[in-house]
This record gives sequence, structure tokens and C-alpha cells, in this order.
Amino acid sequence: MTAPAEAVVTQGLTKVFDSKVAVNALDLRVQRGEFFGFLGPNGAGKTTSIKMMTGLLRPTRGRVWVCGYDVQAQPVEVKRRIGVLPEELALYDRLTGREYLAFSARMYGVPAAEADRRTDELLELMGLWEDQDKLIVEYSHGMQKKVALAAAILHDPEVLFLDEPFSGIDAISGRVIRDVLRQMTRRDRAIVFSSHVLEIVEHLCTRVAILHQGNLVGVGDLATLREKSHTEGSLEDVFLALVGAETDREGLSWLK
Amino acid sequence: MAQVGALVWLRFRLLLGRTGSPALGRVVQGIVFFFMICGAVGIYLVFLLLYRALPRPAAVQALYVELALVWGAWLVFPLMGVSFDDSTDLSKLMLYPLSPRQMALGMLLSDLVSAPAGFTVLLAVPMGWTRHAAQAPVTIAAVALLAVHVVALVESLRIALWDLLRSRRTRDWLILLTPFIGVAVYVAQSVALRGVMLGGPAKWLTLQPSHYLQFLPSGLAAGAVADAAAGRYGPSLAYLAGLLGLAAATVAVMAQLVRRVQAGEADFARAWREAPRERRPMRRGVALPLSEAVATVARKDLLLFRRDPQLKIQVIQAAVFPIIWVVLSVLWSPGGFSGAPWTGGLFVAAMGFMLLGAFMLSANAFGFEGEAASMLFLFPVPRRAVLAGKNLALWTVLMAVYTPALILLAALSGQWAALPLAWVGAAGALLLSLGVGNFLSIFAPYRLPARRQNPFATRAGGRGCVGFLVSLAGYLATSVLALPLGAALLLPLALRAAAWYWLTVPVAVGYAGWLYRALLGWAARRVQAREPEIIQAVGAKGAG
Repeated sequence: MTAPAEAVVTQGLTKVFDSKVAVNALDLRVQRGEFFGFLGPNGAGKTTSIKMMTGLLRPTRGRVWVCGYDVQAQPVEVKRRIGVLPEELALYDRLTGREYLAFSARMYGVPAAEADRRTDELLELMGLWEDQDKLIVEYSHGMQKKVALAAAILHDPEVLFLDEPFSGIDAISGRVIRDVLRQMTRRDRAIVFSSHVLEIVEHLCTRVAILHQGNLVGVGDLATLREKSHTEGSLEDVFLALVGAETDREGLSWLK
Repeated sequence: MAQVGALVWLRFRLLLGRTGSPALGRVVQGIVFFFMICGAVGIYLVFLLLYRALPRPAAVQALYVELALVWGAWLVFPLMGVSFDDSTDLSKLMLYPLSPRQMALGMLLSDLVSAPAGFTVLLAVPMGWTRHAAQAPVTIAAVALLAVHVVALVESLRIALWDLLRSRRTRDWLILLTPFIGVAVYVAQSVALRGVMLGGPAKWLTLQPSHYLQFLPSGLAAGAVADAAAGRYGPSLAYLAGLLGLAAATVAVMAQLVRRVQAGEADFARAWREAPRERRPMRRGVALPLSEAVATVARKDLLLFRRDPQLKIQVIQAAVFPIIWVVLSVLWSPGGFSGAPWTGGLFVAAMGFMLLGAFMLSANAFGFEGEAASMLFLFPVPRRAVLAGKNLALWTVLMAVYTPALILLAALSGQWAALPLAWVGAAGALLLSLGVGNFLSIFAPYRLPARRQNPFATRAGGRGCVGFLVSLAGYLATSVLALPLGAALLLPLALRAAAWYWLTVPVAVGYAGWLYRALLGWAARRVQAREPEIIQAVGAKGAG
């Protein structure tokens, strides 16, 4: 099969843990320059999908191509082109924020002078300048997330995978980060973005995929999803309709 | 009482809940509990025997020692555990409508019932010192009051020093300190046994520990019990009254502290509250003749070895403890360091022990990464560079520990001439150990103890029995591969042909370097295919 040219392509991507199907035959295509949202209730398979797309988890079946490279067969080529912000931050917490960014830059082969310049800019932008020489273990969760995000974009990746990037981030930094991400998509970078905050996804994403119990129940822009769900409301209404959530429950008996 | 019962249940649940997977964890916890109680029963029996067999003056000395040991252990270990133990976190209980009395009572009862080993050891006192019915109330009251006093003291100190005890730095120090307690106990036990063997029971009597221990709260309890046993009920009751006053005062202080916490006034140890420390920015350092990726991974690992107590203690356990063991064993052997059996094999024995420890480290290169392994594998660098960088860092760290250790051995034994050879041997054998260890790092990785867990807890990761056997096989393979190295270094010594070293030392170094390079290449080709499995094995959680 000829390698696809899109930013991310998955074909029959499946992951089974013991007997539980976490992701079931996921077929997706993410274009370059696209801000692609990944939605689903807890346990829908979003994180598992992202881990498979980034080569951190071996699929049970199916294939993934990133920028035309097969994630299983050409992992280093893929990793050269992606940036990842995992949901569970896995940082070297005994390095300082600056040291961590310097380490990441070297590992991605960013020239030293350029790495210094980008590190300075990112620390300033993320509001970490004052704390750059403190150990990451001493950072708050939000600060750790900002460092991880800075490390993910420092080498200017072609595809950025972000798993819950805005949880624990303050409003000001959130706004700054959203602007940076938009700037990246204007430069033809693709962003695959998972979040529970539907307003942010609706605001940022050009297309959205909705997963439910490992299955893809809808993919497309808001208009397409509205059509599919026979709903005219917001992304939240579309999402609830597609995952079949019961919202008309009567609440707790002892609160009536 | 329901709330107090809930607090006691919470303590038990969290103590047991430290185990990882429920079924296996309970089994491991059960085994640990069994051995802990066995140990306590052993101490109980030793003291009971001493009380029954020793003449009265010596038995009194033993009584003072036992009660002081229990008092000290009951005080120190829970305080050390605070850093890691959520079951004592008062701030989490502040949400609930508990009165200060309920909270204080709940904490006291939790502490009392969650220390069965302490009670088992204490049981030796009423069992060993109650000869007549009249003595029973005194011995039981003394032991009970001592227990109440010590748990109230522990809780008071916990509250007063909360910020200090829960700080990251305290936790880091405790991670480093805890294994040394085991070594200190081993050394103290060896010194005591040696002293008893050399000096006999008479020496024990002349030490008169009660002279020093009578000033501790445990001394009041010991005085009460000893005087009651001697029929001196007046002084005995006076000691008991003192102990009652002390216990009541400690409980009152604790209750006052709990009240202050509940009133939101507790801001103790403010002066000790840590401020994050600024670190010097990482320097690029000396330009090494290595690829950027190798140098970067090596620098990162060296920084982590310097800063992460969990890694530091792994190195200390692997390299320093064997040296302490070897030095003490030789020092206390009949001939000491000048003894004939040791002069030849001292370095070989020491190196064997050190390399066994080193192998446990080199055979789990990705275990140090923990969850961060997923980030490491995201970097687009050749896996050979990653392995080489990690090996270089570990080799540097271990040689930095081995070198002074070997110098110490040379100084103690006077075998200075053997030092350069021992150093070359250690460096080469370590290289081979890293080469073989890389395979186990890839095919049998395992999670290191979680960083924020109680160092006394059982959930420590590890390989299990099969993994241990695999490690042992790896170590034996390393030993076989190191045979030519050993032969090259030892044969000229055995043949008393020093000139041969001009040939054998370069050959030994070349052999170790060549073999390491070959093993590294084979291992590096296998990393990529195993990355998801390695991440799952060394991370705190599996993928999901």
C-alpha cells in the first residue's frame, strides 16, 4: 500500500486489553493544517488511540501513518515529526524547567543557539520565566503541563498530539496557548487534540471525531455532525446525542 | 463512636491498601505481616528468656533496654512514615464534622491498634515480671501508660512538625536514610554480639544501661515494674504516678494541638517550610567525543543520579553496602586484614559483590526512567545512542563510587600494588555487566519502587522470583564473559611475571571494550520493537 500523504491516517486501528476492546477498528484521516478534535466520555478510548498513533502502545490490529510514515515500521521518522503532550505527564521531575527543555531540544537535534532562543521564548510565553531554574517536582500541576507543552512544540513538529492540554491551565496561559496552536495550524501543522471541554473543542477545531466505548460514532465538522445526530444545537448537544447519553434522568431520590 | 471507628478503619484500610494488585498485594502484605510478627515474637521470647534466666540485676538492665527500644521505635518509625503515609494526614479529615475529642481519640486508637509488633514485644514485660498477683496491675498499667504516652507524643510531633515531615526534602532524606537504618542495625547487632562473645555476660552488667535510660519516659515504666517485682510498692507507685502524669500531659498537649488544627490556627513549623531552591542552570560541560544524543542522555542521567534520592540509594545499595559488608567481615575475621586467606582474594571478592549489585542496576536501565520512559522513546534518536548514554552515565557513577572503595580496601589491606589492576578489572567487568544488562533491560524490565511510597511498604515493584532467576542467569553470563578479563589480570600475578602486564592489560581492556560494543549493537537493534512493552513494564500504570 502506498503511504498516505495526510498528517495522520489510521486504518482499522484496534486495541484489546485482555478481553476488553478499548479501541475498535478506528479509521481516521487528519489533514495537514487541521485542528482535529478527539472527543468521548471517560474510557472511550481517546488516550489509547493517541498512544497508538504516537507509537507508545502497540495496536492489536490495524495501522497508523503519520506524515506518510508507518508508526510501527518507521517509528524514528514518525517521532522526528511529532510532538506529544500525554495526559499523564511523564516528566523528569528532578530536572529544572529549563534543563528539561534544553534536554528535549538536544534530543530533537535543534541546534544549540536556536534551542536557547526557543527555550527563552517558550518560558516567557508560558509564564515560567521566574521559575525556570526550579525543579519540576516543585512545580504545580499547571506549570508541569506548561513545561510538557513547551517541550512538545519546541522542535516545531509537523503533527502535535495533545491529550487534555488545557486541564489545570490558568485562563491567561490558556488563551496564549490557544493562540500559539492556531499559529501552528496556519503554518500547515496538524493538531490532534483531545479534551472534555466541549466549548474549547467547538471553538478551536475544524473537525471532530467522537468515540464511544472504543467505536467511532461520528467524524466531521460541526455541520456534518449535526446532520448525523439530527440535532441543531451546540457541540455538546451533538455529542450527547451521538453517544446516546441519558440526560433526562430524574436525579437523586433523596434530593426530591 | 461511629466516627472514631471509621478513623480506625481508615488507618487499617490505608495501611493494607499500599499493596498494588489486590490479590497478590494482600498475599505479600500477609507474608510481611507474618514475618513482622515472627520478629516481634522472637524479640519477645529473647526478653522473656532474659527475665527468667538472668540474675535479677541483669534482668533489670534488660528491662530498661527493652522498654527504651520499644519507646524509641514507636516514636521514630511512625514519624519517618509521615512523609509517605496518607492515613495520618489530618488536613484530609478537616472536611468532616469531627469534634477535637473524636479526632484525638480516633488518632490515638488508630496508632495503638496499628502497632501489633510493639504490643507483642511489650507483652514480655507482664509475662516476665509478674510473679505475684499484686504485681500484675502495676506491670500492665506501666506498659499501657507507656504506650498511650508514646502514641500521643507521636501524634503531637506529627501535628507540630507536619510541614517539615511532609516536605519533599524530608521525604528525599528519608529515602536515603531508611536503608542505612538496616545497615546500622546490622552493624550494631554485630558489634553487640561480638562484645558479648568477647566480654561475656559480666560486661553486660558493667555497662549499666539503666543509668542512662532511666531518664527516658520508658525509664519510669521500667522503674515501676522493677520496684514492684522487688516488693518495693511505694517507689513503684511513685514511678507509676509519674508515668500517669506524663501520659496525661502528652495527651493534653496532643488534644490542644488537634483543637488548634481544627480551629484553623495550626501553622506550625512555618520557619521550616521549604522554599523551592533555585538550581544553577545546566552547563554544556566539557565537549565529549560522543554523538550529541549519547552525551545528552548521559548528562541527563548524571543529573538525575545526583538529584534523585531513589537513584542515589540504588547506587549506594549496589556499591557501598557490599563494601561495608566486606570490610566488616574481613576486619572481624580471625586474621583481620593481615590474615592469609584474604590477602589474595580480597579484591576479587569485593569486586564480585560490587558487580553483583551493579548488575541489578545495569539490568534495568529503563526502570530508572519510570513513567518518563514514554517521553524518552518519543525522541527521534537512534536507540543505540540512548543505551550508550545511559550506560555511560551508570558506568561513570559506579566507577566514582568504586574508585574510593577500592582505595579504601587497598589502604586497609596494604595491597597498594593491586589497586591499578583492581581498578582496570572493575572498569572492564562493569562494562561487560552493562553490555549483558542491556538485554535484560529490554526483555525483562521492571518498575522501580514508586518514589512517593513508604520506604517500609511492600509495594516496591521488582521482578519476582522468575525475574530474579533471569537476573541471576544474566549475572552468571557476565561472570563467564569476564573470565578472560580476570585471567588476563590475575595470571601474571599468579605466575609472578609482572612484565606480562604490558601485554595482558591492553588485551583485557580491548576485550572488554570490543565485547561491550558488540553486545550494545545487538541490544540496540531490539529496543524499538520492545518500546511499548518497556513503557508498560516500567511505568506506574499500564496503558489504558
